[in-house]
Amino acid sequence: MRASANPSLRDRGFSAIQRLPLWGRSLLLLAPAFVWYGVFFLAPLVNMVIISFEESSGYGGPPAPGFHLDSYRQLLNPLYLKVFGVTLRMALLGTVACLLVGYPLAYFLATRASRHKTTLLLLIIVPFWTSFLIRTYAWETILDSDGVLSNILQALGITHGSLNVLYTPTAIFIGILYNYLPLMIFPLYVALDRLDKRLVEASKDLGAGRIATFWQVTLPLTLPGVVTGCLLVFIPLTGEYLIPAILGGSKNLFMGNLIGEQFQGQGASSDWPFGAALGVTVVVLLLIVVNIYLLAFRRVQSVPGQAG
Amino acid sequence: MRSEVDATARDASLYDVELLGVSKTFGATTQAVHDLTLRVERGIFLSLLGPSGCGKTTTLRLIAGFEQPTTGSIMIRGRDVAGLPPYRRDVNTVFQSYALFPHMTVADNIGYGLRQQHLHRDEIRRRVGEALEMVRLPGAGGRRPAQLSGGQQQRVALARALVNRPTVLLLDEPLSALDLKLRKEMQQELKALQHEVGITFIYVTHDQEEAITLSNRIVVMNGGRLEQEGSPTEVYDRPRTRFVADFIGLTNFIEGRVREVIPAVNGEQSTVTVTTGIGEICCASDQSDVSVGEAVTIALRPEKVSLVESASADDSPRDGWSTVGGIVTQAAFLGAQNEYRVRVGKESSGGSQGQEIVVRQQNLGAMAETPPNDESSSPTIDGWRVFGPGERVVLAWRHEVGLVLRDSGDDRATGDRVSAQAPTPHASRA
Repeated sequence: MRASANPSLRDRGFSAIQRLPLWGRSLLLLAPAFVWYGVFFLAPLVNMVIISFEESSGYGGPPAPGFHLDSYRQLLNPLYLKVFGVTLRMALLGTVACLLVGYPLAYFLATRASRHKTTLLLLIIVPFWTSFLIRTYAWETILDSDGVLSNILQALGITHGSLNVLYTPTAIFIGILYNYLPLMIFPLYVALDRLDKRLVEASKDLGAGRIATFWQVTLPLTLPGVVTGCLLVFIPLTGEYLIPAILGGSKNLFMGNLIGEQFQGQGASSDWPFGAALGVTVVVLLLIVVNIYLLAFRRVQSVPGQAG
Repeated sequence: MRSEVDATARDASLYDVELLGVSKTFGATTQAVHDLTLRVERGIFLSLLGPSGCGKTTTLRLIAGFEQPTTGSIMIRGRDVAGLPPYRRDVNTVFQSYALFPHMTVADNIGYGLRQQHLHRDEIRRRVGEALEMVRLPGAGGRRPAQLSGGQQQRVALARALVNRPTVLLLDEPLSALDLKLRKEMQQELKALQHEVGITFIYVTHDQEEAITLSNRIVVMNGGRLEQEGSPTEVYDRPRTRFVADFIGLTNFIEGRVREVIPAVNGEQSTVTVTTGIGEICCASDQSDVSVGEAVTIALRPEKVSLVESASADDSPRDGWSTVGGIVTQAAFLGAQNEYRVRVGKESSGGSQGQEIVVRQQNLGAMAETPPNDESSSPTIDGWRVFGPGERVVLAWRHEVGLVLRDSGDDRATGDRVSAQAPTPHASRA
C-alpha cells in the first residue's frame, strides 16, 4: 500500500515542477549557483568598485563615501606602473616556462609511461596535499644562502661561497614553476591522452617523421589543452601574492603584494580606495589579455589546415 | 629450410611484399603472428582473412612498419625493411577508422603525404584534384572530414593513401564501419579502383564473402598462422583444413576412418573410401597422403549435394556418384535457394548414428504441389522438386565434391602438414 502511495506523492511534486515553463525549470535549477555567485562574488566585486572611487581616510581603515578619481590618478605613478609591468612579465614568463617544462612531461605521461602512468600522476599530485604556504616556505629553506641546496653545492665543490638566490626574481621564478606546473600538466595530459593515436600513425604512414608529425598533427590537435593550461597558470599567477612575499623579499613586489599592503598595512601605509582601484585595474587588464588570447586562438583554429 | 627460403627470396622482381618466417610476440607470451611466410605478387588484390585475433591486422602493421617483427624479415620490392619506420616505407595504409585529420580540410588531408615530400604547391593541388576525381568527390576539397558521411570519409582515406602512389596499399577492414548496401557499393568501387591504378592491395577482413568477391588471392589465417593461401576458388572449393572449410562458407563435416586408398593412375585422381556413421563414402581427391585406418573428416558443401526423390533413385548407385538416403527434417525458403536439413544414417530411417546434412538447392521456380509429370526431365536436376519435412529423399554428390581432410589431433597440425611452407609443426602449442 505504501509503495503505491509514495509514487503518487512524488508524482504530484514532479508535476508541479513539470507544469513550469522550460525557462522556469532552468531558473529553479540555476538558483543555488546564482545565489552563491551573487553573494560571494558579485557583491564583493561591486563593493570593491565602489570603494575604489571613495576618498582615503588618510590613516587606514574604511574610507569616507564620495566619488573621486584620486586613486586611479595615483595608479599612473611610474613606481606603480613598474609593478604592473613586472607582474605581467613574470606571469607571462612563468606561463611560458610551465608550458615548456609541462608539455614534454605530459607527453611522456600520456604516451610513454604506460604501466607507470598512475604512479607518476600520483607523484605529481601528492605534494599538493600539503599547504601551498608550507611548500613555499620549504623552498625558502632550500634556497637560503645557508640552506640545504647551498650547503650541498658547496660540499660538492660546484660553487664557492654561499648561494645567493633567495629574495631574487630567480627564487620567485623557481617557486612559480614548482607551484604552477601541475596546473599546466593536467590539461595537457588530458588533451594528449585523448589524442587519437591512429592520427599519429596515419601521419607517419604518409611520410611525416616524428618532428613533422608533432608540428602538424600532435600540437594542433592538443592546442585546446595548451590554451586551457596557459589560462589556468596565467590568471592566478597575475594575482600571485605568497610566492613573491616569501621568496622575493621586500624588493620584488607583485601586484598582489601591493594590493595586500593597501589593506593590511598599519596607519598611513594603508589605503583602501587605492587598493581597490588596483584590484579593479588587474581584473580589467586580465579580461582584456585573456580575450585577446582567446580570439587569437580561435583564429588559429578556424584556419583550415597547415598552409605551406 | 631457411636457406631454401632465402634462395627464393632473391627472385624479388615478381613480388611487392615478402614475409619470410615472420613472427611477432607481444610481451612474454602473446604470439600474434607465428612463422609466417608469404609472397605477394605485384599488382594483385590479396586478402588476409581470418577471425578476430588471428594475427591479420598485426601482419598488416608489420608491413606498414608500426610493429617490428620479433623474428624473420620483411621485404618490400626486394628491399629488406627491417627497422625502417613507417615514414621510410613506400606503403600507405587505409585505417579502419579512416584516421582523417580533423583539423584539416579534405584537400589538406589528401595533400598531406605530398607535402611531406615537399612537392611544389601547384603539383600538390593538381594531384589532390585528380585524387578527388578518382574517388568521385570533386569539389569536396574545402570541406572538413566531420562534414562528410561515412562513405565519403572512406573515399577521402583512400584518396589520401593512393595519391602518394605507394608500392603497396594496405587496407585494414576499411568497410567494416559502413552499412551493408554502402559496403557492397564500395566493394565494387574498390575493385575497380585497384584495377585502374594497378597498385598491389593487401586487404584485411574477417568477412569471407568480401574476401571472395574482391581478391585474386586469399590468405586464410588462424591463431597467428597461415592456414591456406590460394585463389578464392581454391580456398572455397579445395579447403585444405577443417578450419578453412568451416570459416569460408557453409560446410557439412562427416567424420570417419579410411577404409581403402586407390592411388592416382594415368592422371586420374586417387580415390579414398571412408567408413562413416552414415555409410561408406567414396571421395576422389588430389590428396592421397592419407593411410588406411586413419581418422579423417569429409567436408561437403551444401550446394554441391543434389536432392532426389527416394522412389526415383536407382538401386545401383551411378558411377562416380555417392548416394545416401535420408529424411527431410527441415525445409527453409531462402529466396534464391531452398535449404534442407536431411537426417541421414546407416539405416536410412536415421538411427542413433545418423547426422544432419544441410543441402542447398537453387530455386528454379518449381512448386511443391506440382512435381513435373514429364519423366524425361531428369529428377536429378536440382530445384525441380521442392521437398517438405518428413519426405524420404536420396542425397547424391559426385566423388570429387567430397573433400578428405586429415583429422589427426587438431586442425593446426593438419594445417602445418598440408601447407607447403610451414617448417615446424607442433611448435609452441601451450
